[in-house]
Amino acid sequence: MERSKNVRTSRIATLVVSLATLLAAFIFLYPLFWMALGSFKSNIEIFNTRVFWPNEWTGHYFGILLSGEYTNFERTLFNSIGISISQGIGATVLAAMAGYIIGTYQFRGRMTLVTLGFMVVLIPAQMVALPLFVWVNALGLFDSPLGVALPGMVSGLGLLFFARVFRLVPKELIEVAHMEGASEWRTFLSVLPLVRPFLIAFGFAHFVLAWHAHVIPMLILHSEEARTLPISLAALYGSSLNSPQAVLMAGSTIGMIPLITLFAMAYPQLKSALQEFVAS
Amino acid sequence: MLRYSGFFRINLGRLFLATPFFLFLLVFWATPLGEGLLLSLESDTLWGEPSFVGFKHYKELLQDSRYWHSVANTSVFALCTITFSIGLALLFAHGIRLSLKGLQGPLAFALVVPGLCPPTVLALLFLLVFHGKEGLLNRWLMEPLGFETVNWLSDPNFIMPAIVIQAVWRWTGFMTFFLLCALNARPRDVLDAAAIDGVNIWQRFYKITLPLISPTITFCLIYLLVDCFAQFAGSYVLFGGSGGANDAGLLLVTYAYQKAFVGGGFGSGAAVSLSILPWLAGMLILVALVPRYLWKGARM
Repeated sequence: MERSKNVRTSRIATLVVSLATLLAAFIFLYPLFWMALGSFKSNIEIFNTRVFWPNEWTGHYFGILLSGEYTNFERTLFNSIGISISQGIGATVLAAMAGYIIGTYQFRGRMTLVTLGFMVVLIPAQMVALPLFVWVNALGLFDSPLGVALPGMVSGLGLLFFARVFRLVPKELIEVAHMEGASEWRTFLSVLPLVRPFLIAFGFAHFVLAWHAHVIPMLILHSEEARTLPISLAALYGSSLNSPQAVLMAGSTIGMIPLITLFAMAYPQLKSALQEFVAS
Repeated sequence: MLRYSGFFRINLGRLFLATPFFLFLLVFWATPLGEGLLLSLESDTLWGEPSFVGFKHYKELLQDSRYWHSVANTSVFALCTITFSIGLALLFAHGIRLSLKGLQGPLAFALVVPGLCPPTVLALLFLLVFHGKEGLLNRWLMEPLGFETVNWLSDPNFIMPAIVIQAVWRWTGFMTFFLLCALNARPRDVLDAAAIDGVNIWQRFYKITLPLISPTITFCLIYLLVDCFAQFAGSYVLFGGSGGANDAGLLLVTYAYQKAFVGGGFGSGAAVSLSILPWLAGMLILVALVPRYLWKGARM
């Protein structure tokens, strides 16, 4: 009797908590639903927040967006994808290589390198945006995607992360590889599959950060053709309140799709990587 | 740690692996940083050769009331964002763990999605959430509760809450995700033993769970702090590079941008940028020390 009553109360408690958390998630997602629906609305409907469903499901505003009347959408989307992917991959490769050495070996100057990594975390590129802009100009990379992507490949967080991750790799594996005469590079490649979830987790996180970057692309990418999505969307917003807001909403919604898709794909890996990392 | 044979050959291999990162760091981080330092010591001349002025810009900043205003704003912004975001994230993480099994994954996933929004998109959305009379907050929160509607983005008293809400909305999901992983990674036996010994739920949380997940919390703190201090995009889209009414939303990075491109020049702009570092470091020391003080000896 007593027992079954306990089970029932705990079931009710679970249901109540589930509902409350669902409500919280709904509140957090509401603005995004509203944004997605906003791509079908006229300005009057958009500025009247009591309207949730659009009057008419029309592809009109998507057409305007793609027509290039306000912004060269395909081009900026393509720029964003290119820059973010190369930044994500580049940063992961660089940080994993250096992190492997720092995490595996004990050598003089190791702490200096770790401290340097920490300094990069403390002084993110946004803070040195101005001199970086001057310097990138001097290198001749002004208005070039490389001018944004190359500086974006330096990740202090990545170095610290991978230094810790490679400490988790059993030392015996590396010793065996060395004894069999494998070069350092071969050894590194042979342990990579062991840290696959971490590589994916970091690559994804850095991709998102690159996608979000604002100050540096804004300073360096000057011409319309070179701009990334956030910059062109911000410019679109700034242009006029009379222009159809739905175009902006449509652009923002489409711009979210690559991120959500990638996140859904990386989610299991992200979760297992984080769980293992936190437990160490 | 490792003993190795063929000392010389392996060292070359190691050098080859470690060098690219630090080469990039040197070219794309250390060089601009050094250049920024030099720039901050030079005069603001736009044309012609700038002259060396020493610490003039920094001295001017010390007497610049707008600068102090932006320091105070950034600190308040960072502290409020951290408090609410991590507090809510702890609550949500527990909520998700206690929810129905099938809901746990989707809930964690859904909460992270706002964090995937580029800050610009987010500022646009929030402009509409915070809109004068028709904004969602006014419609659903202020009016039903009988408060006067607030023009969030032009009333100086409400600008700071608005940008804090924006940052909290964006980051809480990610923090929840991190904390959820930390909670799941707690050793079960310790918690079970405590429950059997009759330790009540609050004590279990405060004395066992918090110390166990404190490294993750520290990570969240550092991440949020750095992001708040380097925050630009959100307030840029909300206020178009200005500080909002009465400068109530003026943050350090915005001020550096203003100094460099609107009034002043590259020299004083660089000085503002670099002056962020000591503030950030100070805040970091603060947030790193507080948990240590609170849980001194709490670990069993």
